Amino acid sequence: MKRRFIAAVLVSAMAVASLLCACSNPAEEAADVTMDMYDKEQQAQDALDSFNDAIQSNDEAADAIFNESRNTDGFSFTVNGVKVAPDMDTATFLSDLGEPLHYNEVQSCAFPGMSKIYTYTSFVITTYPQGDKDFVSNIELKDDTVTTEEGIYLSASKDKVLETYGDGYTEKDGVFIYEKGNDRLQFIFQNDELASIEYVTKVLDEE
Amino acid sequence: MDKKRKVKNIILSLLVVAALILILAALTRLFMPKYMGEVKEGALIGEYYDEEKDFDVVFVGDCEVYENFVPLVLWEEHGINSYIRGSAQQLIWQSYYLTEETLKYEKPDVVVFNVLSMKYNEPQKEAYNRMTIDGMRWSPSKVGAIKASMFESESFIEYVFPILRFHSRWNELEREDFRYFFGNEKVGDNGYYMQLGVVPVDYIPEPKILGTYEFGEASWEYLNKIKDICAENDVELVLIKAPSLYPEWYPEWDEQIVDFAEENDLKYVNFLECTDEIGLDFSTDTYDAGLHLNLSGAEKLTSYFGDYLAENCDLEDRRDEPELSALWENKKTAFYERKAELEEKFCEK
Amino acid sequence: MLFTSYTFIAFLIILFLVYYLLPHKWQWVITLCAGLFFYAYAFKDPGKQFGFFFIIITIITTYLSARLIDRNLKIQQEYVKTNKETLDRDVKKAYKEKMRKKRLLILTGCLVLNFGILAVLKYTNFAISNVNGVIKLFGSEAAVGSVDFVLPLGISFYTFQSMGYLIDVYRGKYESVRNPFKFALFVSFFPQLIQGPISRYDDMADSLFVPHSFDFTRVSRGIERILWGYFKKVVIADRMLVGVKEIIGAPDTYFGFYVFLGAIFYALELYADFTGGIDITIGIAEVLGIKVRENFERPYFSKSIKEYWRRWHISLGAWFTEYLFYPVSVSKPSLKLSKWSRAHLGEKVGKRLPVYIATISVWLITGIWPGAAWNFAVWGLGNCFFIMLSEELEPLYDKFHKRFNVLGTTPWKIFQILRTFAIMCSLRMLDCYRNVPVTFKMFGTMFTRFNAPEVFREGLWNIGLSIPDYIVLLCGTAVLFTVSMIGRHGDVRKRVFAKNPVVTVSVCSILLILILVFGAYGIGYDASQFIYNQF
Repeated sequence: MKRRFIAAVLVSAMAVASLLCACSNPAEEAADVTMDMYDKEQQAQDALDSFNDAIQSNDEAADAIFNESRNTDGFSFTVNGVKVAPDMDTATFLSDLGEPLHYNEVQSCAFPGMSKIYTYTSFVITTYPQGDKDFVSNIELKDDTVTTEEGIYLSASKDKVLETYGDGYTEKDGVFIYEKGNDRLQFIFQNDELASIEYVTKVLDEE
Repeated sequence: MDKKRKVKNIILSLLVVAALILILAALTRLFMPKYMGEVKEGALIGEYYDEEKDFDVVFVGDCEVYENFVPLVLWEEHGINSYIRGSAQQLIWQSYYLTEETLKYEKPDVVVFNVLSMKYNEPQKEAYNRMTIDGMRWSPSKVGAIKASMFESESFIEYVFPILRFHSRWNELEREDFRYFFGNEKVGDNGYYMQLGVVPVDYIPEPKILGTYEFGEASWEYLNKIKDICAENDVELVLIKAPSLYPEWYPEWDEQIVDFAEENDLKYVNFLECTDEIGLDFSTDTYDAGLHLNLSGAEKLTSYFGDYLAENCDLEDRRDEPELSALWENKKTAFYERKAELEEKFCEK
Repeated sequence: MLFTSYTFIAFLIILFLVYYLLPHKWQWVITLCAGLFFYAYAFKDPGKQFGFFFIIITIITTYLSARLIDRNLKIQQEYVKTNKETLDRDVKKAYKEKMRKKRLLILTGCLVLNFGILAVLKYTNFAISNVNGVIKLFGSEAAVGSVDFVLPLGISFYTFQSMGYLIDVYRGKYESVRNPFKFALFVSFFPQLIQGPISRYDDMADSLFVPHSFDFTRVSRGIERILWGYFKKVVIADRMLVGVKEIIGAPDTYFGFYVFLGAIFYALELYADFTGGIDITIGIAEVLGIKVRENFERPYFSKSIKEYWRRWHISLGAWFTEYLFYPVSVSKPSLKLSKWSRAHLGEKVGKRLPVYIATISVWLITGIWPGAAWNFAVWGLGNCFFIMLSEELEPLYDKFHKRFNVLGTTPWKIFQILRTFAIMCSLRMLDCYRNVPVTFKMFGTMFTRFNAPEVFREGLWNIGLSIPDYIVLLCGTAVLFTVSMIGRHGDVRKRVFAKNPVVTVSVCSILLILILVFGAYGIGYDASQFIYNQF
């Protein structure tokens, strides 16, 4: 009898405890539940990626560990001496770029304040929020006055691009995609001439 | 004696197992997002099941339907009884399965499908998928929708037992999760999600160049399926493109839809081409700079579309049905109460 | 099929049902089929299928070798028996020796083949990278390309287990098994394939092939043990893993006190993960009515490294002692060496040399068994160093103990336990960072860069764990510790929960809820692999 009583108490205590634990952290603000979920996922994923990279092989480990810096291992774009790369915190470079021509916040369905778009004369930077910071999600080059780090600009020939970046691309729906670190560099050709250059982060991908 | 004890043990064990199941069911409900906070869109799909399912027109699609059309206007102006089955970024296969499900409940005269989701050939975000799918009741349609929308990293069982998916929210629970434990508040008016804010359109980002302007295979497959299932059920399918300025609706896309409509003898209205006739003013009629319309814009658009429907589709004016009129009278009250409430909130800001 | 995958759980449920619903005499066949299915499932991806055949090769060659050795022994006995009168001693001896050589030849052939497979699959790339290192040293750019092998699941475990069996048969400990399918079941018993324990044939045979009727108490206890394993694994280990990975992944950010923290987290994570996996294994076996021996005995309560290794991964240590250390130390070259060194180096050194050589070689092999890399080799030698050191210092300790009379007192015991724990944590860093220079560097920063206050102020919240995470981890560890404390005096399940099945059912229910809610699984958490999976 006594044991059964204990069992019953344990079960109900468990139920109460899990409820208590659950409400031990009432959200400070009515923050967006689902987005929080994604932030967490992302952090876990980042930690995991860096770990996996680090243990890939013994020799690589030392390099990976000591060169560990989120943005150096992907693609980047430099304009007027300012370096911009996917997943960079916008606070670190925005003031150096000067006033954009246009600035707008574009919402998508349901999630408020999803992304900010900074339009400059020759390029457009789009961001995604994480916590209370904004990070670069896309960089589009808009005219041939700006080039990629490797010297490719709009209207370059397809051969030139393939020569510069090699044949390690994948093609999906007419987009030529090169991957490096957490970034993608995407090219679109029209009549064998480069019509679009875009840097995209892989961080927002879902699989 | 020993036997008696054994029976007692069995009964007690069964009781414990029953308690376990109960607790797990309660925890599942607790952990499921209620969509009662800022992201209310996720609660829309589930509201359909409480309705008297006797609609003349059913809208299917993404935010471009549930933000832009006001069923009350269709009722008041033309006596059309309509409902919107839309959810945030509702993908075309989800729209198909919702149509399939709806047609099992009722046979409306017209199904209106907004074609923006043709642009997505693959699932985009799990959070959006969940908003549509978790609201659906279990049926073969739901199973189909899940299978078509799942990411590789997901498992079907996580939809059957959502606690497997949402358990990680144990430390993110909010007051709403407890407040709406036993049921949600109604957020839509026949599937319309009311917005009163005004953010004028000042600049529209230049459209991106695409690698291909052809719609994907899956998109076509499901558009054809929607067409076929409507034909089988003797329901007229009307294709529309809402007048949202962003995201971009490319002319190349429009052409493909025009051709498809022509080939299949369907009606297709691209409202982007008739914003002037509708009387839309993008400095006052949108609440997020051109993405979606606010109530004022939605009323104008619905009014325009109501005329179109009344003129082109064989729809009865049902305002003389007393029961339905009474029902709408209640809905009207709820609608204006909501409006007043939102206005109050809006003014506070 | 990981233990933590939905597929595996579905597989288990189906297996348990089939196991008890079909006629009980088929149970061992069902288990065998389940094992083969489990194994084949691991190689279902195109291009990987050949991995499945390694275990088949091991089963066939070991079975045949054991049968041949047995037959040879029987022929010998028969011959000696029938010719008892006619044979004189020398002829008999010569004949026996001839036969023994034959058996040895079979044994060696089989050992070479099977350990050869293991070595080639595991160590080729390690060898290649070292060769490349040497080539580079001489300034040449030429390099040997590395090979991409798919490491068959649990290859070390089943290889060790079947070779142990073969050696036992050779030694005449027991007879070889006649039915090849029964032997196949012994090798491929699926819960053990992932991370051991390494069972001995005579331990398992009794329960492996006989029918088991459904016994509610046993089955529910087995399920309880399985859930306890999942609790350790999913609630504690996998949640901890986030922090451990973050700290290990960025040594230039996380130095000093973080390293200390990382070492402790890793100790906990490794323990919860590994013993959790073993609990699941033993629990599954218990449900099936099969006895698998314990593999851990509260290792973190050990008072010396030597004791630690008697209590951590017990079956592996036992295997090494029985089949490696012992034969090496009594082998002819070893005895010769002992004689030689005693004669030339004096009694004191001479006595130790052979023992040291045996110890070092065993530890070197223990070190590189989990993975072919220098860090593991150094790790093995590190263990060896501390064990030998403590043995050498024994007289000194004795003096100390006599003088201060602390031996056996509780504070002294606690000190010993903490000391052992600290040494093991330090050594384990080699396993964390997987790079010898980095490990030493990071170990150094614990003493050179003092940042504990900063870590407590903000660092703790930056490594991917939130306050609720820490609460769960703390509570989980407390439960773990309590269970271990109670477990010192006997089986917790028997002691605390007595024989009432209602209590078992309640405990199972609570564990299930805890796992489902607080487990770090599903989207947002990587269903991480058991640490010992690939070994």
